[in-house]
Amino acid sequence: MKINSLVLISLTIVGAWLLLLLSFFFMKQVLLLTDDAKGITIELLRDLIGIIILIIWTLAFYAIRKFTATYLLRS
Amino acid sequence: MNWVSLIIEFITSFIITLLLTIYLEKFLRKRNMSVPDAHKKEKPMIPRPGGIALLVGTTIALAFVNNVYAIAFISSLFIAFFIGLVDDIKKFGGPEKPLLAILAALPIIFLKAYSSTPYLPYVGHVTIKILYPLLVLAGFPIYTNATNMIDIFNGLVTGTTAISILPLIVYDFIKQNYAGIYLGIAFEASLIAFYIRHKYPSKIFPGDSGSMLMGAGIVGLMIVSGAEVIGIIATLPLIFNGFFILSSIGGFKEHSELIRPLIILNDYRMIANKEPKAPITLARLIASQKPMSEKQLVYSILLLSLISVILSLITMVVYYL
Repeated sequence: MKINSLVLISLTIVGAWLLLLLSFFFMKQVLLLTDDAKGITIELLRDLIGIIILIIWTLAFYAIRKFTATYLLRS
Repeated sequence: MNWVSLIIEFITSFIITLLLTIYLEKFLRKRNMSVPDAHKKEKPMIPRPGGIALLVGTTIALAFVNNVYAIAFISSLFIAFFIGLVDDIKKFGGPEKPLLAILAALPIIFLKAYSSTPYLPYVGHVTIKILYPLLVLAGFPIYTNATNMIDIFNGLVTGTTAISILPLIVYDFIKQNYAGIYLGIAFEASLIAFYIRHKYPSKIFPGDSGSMLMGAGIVGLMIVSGAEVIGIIATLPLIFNGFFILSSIGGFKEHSELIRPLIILNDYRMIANKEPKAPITLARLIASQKPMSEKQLVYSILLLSLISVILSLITMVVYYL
């Protein structure tokens, strides 16, 4: 049985929300691991983690688009 | 907090926007500034652009709020509005509009109406000195184009924006962030008033000037409120729609170059175009299984906005309070 399109998109929104929260959990863990870093190093590290998180979000949104489009439009 | 001044601000913004919108409907129609509503059988001519009513209503309501946040917010709205107005009159090419939309971020940057220590779930306040101003610069083109791209059906962009900023206003009230409260209330009242005339069946269209102003309003409020993550979650359908379109067509392109994502049937219901090269939009995905009317599609996307708002409120309760 095919899932209703609106239900599927709602589920992907919930999935994206969980991923956003997970990415911040990941950020916290990395910051804890580098707890002893100070000054310019920690500032650059935070920016770097921020960039990594943005890349993860972009890839995840791309995967969501691929999945929903394949499921709803190609079948 | 002065509740009387907040109520006066709400009523001022609401009434000015509503009256000006009704006036603009007649004014624009008289001057033949109307476009056909493509999703209706009779193809009625609808006046546009009506977005100036939002700008005037919000600005007058905020006239007595004398702080740097209000000046930065209103300046951003003005810049986004005028970029959209030029697009309404003389269409921009593919990447020109998003590049120009960066200008709308400048008042926030130069007046320092932001804090580079956003609050993140799990992490708490974190200083992101280099990346944050860059994100502010990127946020305006992202959101002004996201609202512009979702402005395809009657009332959709206004409804989505009005729903999406609700969690930001709630957050400002909880955190007693007065600057955010006053900006949010003025903007929300103006959006509700405009929605009354823009909702299905539309009496007026906001135009690119109106839709870009709405995008600037969302991102401006997110920054001033310091509720970036809450705002991102509340606007996930907007982000999805914009990202899906851009990633499926490979960047910014003119409308005329694109294949229509929806096919309009004889009874004026719409169904997804199965052509693989057609842009992937939320409306196309929703109408992929059965034909849907414009009204059904609008309410489906508004429902997605409501789900996102609930998720952002859950995030607020769990991680922010």
